[in-house]
Amino acid sequence: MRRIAVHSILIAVSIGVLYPVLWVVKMAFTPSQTFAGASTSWNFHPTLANFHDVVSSHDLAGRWLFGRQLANSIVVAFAVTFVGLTLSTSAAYALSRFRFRGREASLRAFLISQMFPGVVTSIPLYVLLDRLGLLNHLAGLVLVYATTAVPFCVFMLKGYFDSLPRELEEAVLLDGGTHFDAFWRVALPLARPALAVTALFSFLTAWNEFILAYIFMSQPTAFTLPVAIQRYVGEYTTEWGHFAAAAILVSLPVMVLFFALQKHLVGGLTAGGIKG
Amino acid sequence: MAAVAIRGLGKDAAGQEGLIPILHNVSLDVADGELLVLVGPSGCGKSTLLRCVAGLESIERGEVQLDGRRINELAPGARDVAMVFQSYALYPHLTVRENLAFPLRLRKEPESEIAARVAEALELTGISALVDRRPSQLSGGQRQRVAIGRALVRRPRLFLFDEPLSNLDASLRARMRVELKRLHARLRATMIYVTHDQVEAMTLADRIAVMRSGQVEQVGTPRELYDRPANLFVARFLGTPEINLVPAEALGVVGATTLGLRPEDIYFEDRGPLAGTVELVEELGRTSIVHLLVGDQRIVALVESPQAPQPGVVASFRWDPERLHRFDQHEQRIA
Ligand SMILES: Nc1ncnc2c1ncn2[C@@H]1O[C@H](COP(=O)(O)OP(=O)(O)OP(=O)(O)O)[C@@H](O)[C@H]1O
Ligand SMILES: [Mg+2]
Repeated sequence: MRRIAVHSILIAVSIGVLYPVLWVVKMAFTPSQTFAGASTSWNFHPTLANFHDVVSSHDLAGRWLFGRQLANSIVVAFAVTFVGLTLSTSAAYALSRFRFRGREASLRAFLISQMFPGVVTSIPLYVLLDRLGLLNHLAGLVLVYATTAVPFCVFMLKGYFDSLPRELEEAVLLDGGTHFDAFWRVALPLARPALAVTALFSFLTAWNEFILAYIFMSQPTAFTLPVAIQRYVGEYTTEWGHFAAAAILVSLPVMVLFFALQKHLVGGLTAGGIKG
Repeated sequence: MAAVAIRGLGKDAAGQEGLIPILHNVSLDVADGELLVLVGPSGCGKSTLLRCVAGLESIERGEVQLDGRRINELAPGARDVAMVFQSYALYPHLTVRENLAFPLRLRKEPESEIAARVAEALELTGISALVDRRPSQLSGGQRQRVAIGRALVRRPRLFLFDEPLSNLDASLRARMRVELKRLHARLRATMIYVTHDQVEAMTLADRIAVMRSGQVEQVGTPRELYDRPANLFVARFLGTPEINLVPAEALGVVGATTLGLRPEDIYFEDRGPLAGTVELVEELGRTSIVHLLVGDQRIVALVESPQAPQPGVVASFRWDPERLHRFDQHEQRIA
């Protein structure tokens, strides 16, 4: 009796969670561009037409828009990951291991910057990027995304470095290494699980972000994919089939990344270095 | 190898109400090739002293010398000192072989030299079979050996051990103790060894330094400390069962405040000068521990099992007056 109850709840929840996803999948494979058309009929004939249309989208000047936008997204996401990781690992390590003037203040500043939703800062950021001449430039987006990703990554990594026993690094110093050796050869390799999570977070921040990219990028050739998807939602009509196909294309890399990094996300490398 | 001299070492820590002294005017000498054991209760500053010598703690007052040369300002890596941590501090992401090679790699030794010295350390510590394992795949005793091996490959001038055996079970600790003593005899290396286990201290040490609240109470060979403790603290700290401390008047001795009598210096005899009720007898095999009540004073005796009286009887006993320790009202030994 209980099992039946538990299972019916689980099934109901699964349907609730999966239904919208399946709906999008169905829309993507249905050639029509209507929203309702995807709703109930069971006898539909899947085609790749929508995907073909999305991937091969060109602008009036004949430039391959989808390719450009995909490249934009990839460049921005990787650049943010790289910048975010390098800045936040070194900052987190210093904040965790050294006592210096301004340490408390910078930790607090990082924390405060996390309290505001990103949209709040969009206007000052717009003005700043305008002054710097970085509107419609990928570098501008990278800068903005990195500043939002870094504080979170610093906290995440600092927590991890704090949990690493100091004696490991003292052993490096006694073994004749420098503080940098301790960081590079011991702390960093041990932080791999935390680095993976941080990298994934930075990547996703950049890959999925829509609002700021929408505000800062006005030329279609500078769009990232989330902005490009939004373009299928028009003022009077919406190309639902194209929208759904593009949405699926954008989420594919995210899924791949999650599966690839799964192992590291679980992590637990330090087991055994210290008595136990 | 090297001789160590510690001169008037002092260190404070910031506490709630200003600075708290952790080490106070510590002076110690360790001769070349000597194994000096630092003992003392938890929190007395043993680790801090060791870390000052290693260079992991800054030195606020006084001086540490290695072969007559001041090393206060030298970075830990430049002191040519190896340390075995209580927690072992093995590099978890490296195999045993890589752990041992690590200090040599940092010093950019040639690969052939590294291989030779790692092999030698593996052989000395008996862990050759484990080279490709990671620390997480080793038992406590094996990790301990790896940690010692990593200190050995460096061939440092001075070895520092911070309670290296305290995480091992009793029988393994006894075995490792013997191995360490053998290793010391073989290498003739200068070592400072921290423990709060008095058996470890007595068995391993060439000389022992007893510490209390940041100060060195007495330094000497195990025999000297045992036979001529400088004060009540040292007397109580060494020896199991613990030394009997009784007021001088209880034994009719004048010119002292407290008397110390080791349990093994008590003999049961029919016409002894004092008698007590046998409360309890602990049989250890060859010897027995006899707990006596003399008036309201508890006295413990350690005797050969056949000599032990039955519980409940009143037994008279004598002691060796030569081996009676006298202390004044300041708890200091009276010569
Ligand atoms: N960073 C610090 N700040 C404040 N007090 C400290 C600090 N490090 C150590 N102490 C204090 O200094 C004293 C000596 O510590 P230490 O670790 O040297 O003791 P220990 O003799 O090694 O003890 P144990 O046998 O428990 O290892 C302790 O009372 C400890 O609380
Ligand atoms: Mg200690």
